[in-house]
Amino acid sequence: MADINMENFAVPDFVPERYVKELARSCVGGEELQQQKVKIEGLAEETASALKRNVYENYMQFIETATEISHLEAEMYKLSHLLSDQRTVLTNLSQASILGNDNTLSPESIDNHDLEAERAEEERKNKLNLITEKVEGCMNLLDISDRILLHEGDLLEIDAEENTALQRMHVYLFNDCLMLTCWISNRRGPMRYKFLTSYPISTIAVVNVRDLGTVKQAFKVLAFPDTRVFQCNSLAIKKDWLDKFESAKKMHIEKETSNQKKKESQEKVKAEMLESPSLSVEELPSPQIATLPDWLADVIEELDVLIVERHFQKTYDLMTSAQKTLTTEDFIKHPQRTDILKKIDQKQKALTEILLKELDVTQNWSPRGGLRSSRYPIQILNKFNMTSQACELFLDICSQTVKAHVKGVQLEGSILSYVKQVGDVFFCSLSDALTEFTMLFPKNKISSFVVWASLQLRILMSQIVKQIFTPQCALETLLNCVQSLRDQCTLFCEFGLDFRFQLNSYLRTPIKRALQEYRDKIVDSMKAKVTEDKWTPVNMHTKAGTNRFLIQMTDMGINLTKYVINETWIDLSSSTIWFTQSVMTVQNIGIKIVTEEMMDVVDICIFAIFNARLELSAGSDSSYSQKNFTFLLEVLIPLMLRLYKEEVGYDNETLLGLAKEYGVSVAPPKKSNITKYTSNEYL
Amino acid sequence: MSKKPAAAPTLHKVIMVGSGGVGKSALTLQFMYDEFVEDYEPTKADSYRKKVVLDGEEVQIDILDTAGQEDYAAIRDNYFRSGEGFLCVFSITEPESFDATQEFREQILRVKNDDNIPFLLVGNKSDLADKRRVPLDVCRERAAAWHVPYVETSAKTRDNVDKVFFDLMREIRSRKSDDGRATNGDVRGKKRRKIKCAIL
Repeated sequence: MADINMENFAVPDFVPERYVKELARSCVGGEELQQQKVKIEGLAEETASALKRNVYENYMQFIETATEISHLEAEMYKLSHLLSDQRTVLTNLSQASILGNDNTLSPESIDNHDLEAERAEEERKNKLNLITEKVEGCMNLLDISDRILLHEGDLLEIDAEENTALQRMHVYLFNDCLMLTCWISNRRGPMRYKFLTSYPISTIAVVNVRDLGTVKQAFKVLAFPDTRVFQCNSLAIKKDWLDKFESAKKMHIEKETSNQKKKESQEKVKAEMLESPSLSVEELPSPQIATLPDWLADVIEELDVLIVERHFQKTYDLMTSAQKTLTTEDFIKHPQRTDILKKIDQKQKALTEILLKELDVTQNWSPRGGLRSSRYPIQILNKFNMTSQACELFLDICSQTVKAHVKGVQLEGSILSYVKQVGDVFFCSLSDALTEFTMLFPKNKISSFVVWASLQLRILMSQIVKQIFTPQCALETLLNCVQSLRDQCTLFCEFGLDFRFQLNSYLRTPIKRALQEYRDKIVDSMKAKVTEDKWTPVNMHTKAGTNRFLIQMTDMGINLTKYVINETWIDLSSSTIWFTQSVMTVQNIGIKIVTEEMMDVVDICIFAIFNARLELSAGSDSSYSQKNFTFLLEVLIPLMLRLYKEEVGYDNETLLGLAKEYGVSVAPPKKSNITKYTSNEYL
Repeated sequence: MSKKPAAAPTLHKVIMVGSGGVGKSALTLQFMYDEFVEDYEPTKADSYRKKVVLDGEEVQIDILDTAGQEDYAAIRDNYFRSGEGFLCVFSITEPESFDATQEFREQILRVKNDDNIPFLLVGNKSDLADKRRVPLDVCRERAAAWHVPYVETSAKTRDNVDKVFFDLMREIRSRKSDDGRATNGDVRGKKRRKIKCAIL
């Protein structure tokens, strides 16, 4: 008999028919064949599920990759932003250094520091290049750095004197000139038009032709000594052209006036410069004083470069060494000393500003960098005695990190696993922040961390409380969630910070509310349950069902084995069972979920539920209902009192009072009490 | 393609100048279409052409109606360059527009670089005599100083509308024939002077 496994099917030359034939030949009898079939089917199922799993995993990976890519994209965007910032700085610097020269960069290109403008610039160049490719003998369109295309289109040129058609033209209107081209009749290649002429925008005047005999939809371009008349295909096109000419004219005028202003201001600057000759290094040194070493003379420029290159640590080092050197005996009387020191001070201010900006979460900060990325700026700021600001900014960063991490937890599956994960993530982030904090800041700053951390806890708890304390959430789930949070909080105590009290205080009100809501729910449905009860034993239908029920009840702390009759019947009415389950749940969970000082809430709940039930007394006249009532009084109450005492160590006084009121003699817990409910005395 | 024997008649290019709202377009439209337009809409730069009979000869007049609001002098230059004769219009009810004619005159002379360019000073809105704020003798004084004719018109009543256009065309025509002759002899200045005097 052939062994059935994957390899048989995975061979490249697998032929189903042959395989089946071989299988049939090797098998003896139908039964064996059946077995083989089952095996193959099992294999198929396995493969299918494996495939499904694979698909799912791939899918998840795909999603993860996609999010990663989008993060990366955001990072890249920020990077390019930074780069363009730097570019501006560099252009400014280069401008400053070639003062007096008419800089090669037009004012526009400096303004275009953001990405948008850069893209527009690229587009502009592409457009112009495209035109150059289309027009034969085209002038160099890119020679003017800010030339843009405003409008283009086909027009028919008309003889200005005789009103007859001259030629078809393709006309380009740029912001600074008008270019006329005509169609190439037998064109080959990409050239479509032939360059005719161009007029600077400042030399042309456009006239709307209202009336030119038979010629309609025309306009005139006066470009002395030429007068050119163009006819458009429609009034709309003509209007478009006229509007575009108008805007070109406006742009031109604006540019002209701004140029004029600039010229004036430049002249002013020049005049000022002439008035106050610059105090350059070469002019001043007096012979008797030692000249500054090169590095010290250039220290300001060097600092600029270092800052721009983001070598902050080096900047700091250079700054301090320069300051130190300048305070030594050799230079104490140097004429440039105060000047350089003052400039260093300015640079220091600039540096701290940059560092503060670096740490500012509101300015393009990314959580992906982690806390370590802020280490160097903070260390330098600390050295500048700016610990407080650094601390504040660092904690802001921590807040953002915590927020980002908590946000990253997906609400998938049960609420419990979510709460567990959030708790994990939160306390891990806290501990990360704490380790980093203790490393970066002196001990006296730790108080601000404590304040910060408790604030974070408050934020987290306000979120979690909203998510878990909902009417749909079962009491037991609540307990689990609360316990998992408490466990994690206890673990965090190892770091030396105990937030348990705070955690509990945030949980206090919602827990109280949850218990009260549960109580109200039970009390509300109590009457209906009791009056609708048929007062007969409950049928569990199967033995297994009975067992399951018994185990469930034993888990709660009550053994009902003695109440089983005929294997599948429970000798208690449905409302009694329901009541027993409800009230035991309240006690069991209530005791665990509340903190010691809140026990009264649980006591009141238990009391209220019991009281509501007991006030209904038997609920019916039947003897069976009486029997159930007795069960409640004489079995359930003593049991609960005993469990309560076992759990918390003292008596539930309120319930005890209620029991006494109903004449239940509650003897101090003895072993005999346990046998009481297991006896069949009430049967 | 346009080799018709009866080629297009002579073209005289006239330019309307003056401040905004003095009635340049109203005059033009009255001359072109015999209609008076009440509503005012600022002109950018419009051109019109019409065939007219000037002293028995068929000619074409090309009127460029400029924008009184054009505040950028360099652009105005471009318009003025194409003109052969100018109607410098002001409103007799608006002294500011009269003052502005001085500037227009100077600009035209500078652009055309010709002191004897065909030019008429036109006081419009003569129908609003009760609102007159520019005295007649002041207008005449200025015209005399410039050695140009002064005419008062009303675009509303069509008073003197044809006259200003035809007078200007005559001046342009005589200038052109002068220029034609000037290429032969050096009689230019004398001749022109004579014509001026005749009109005055």
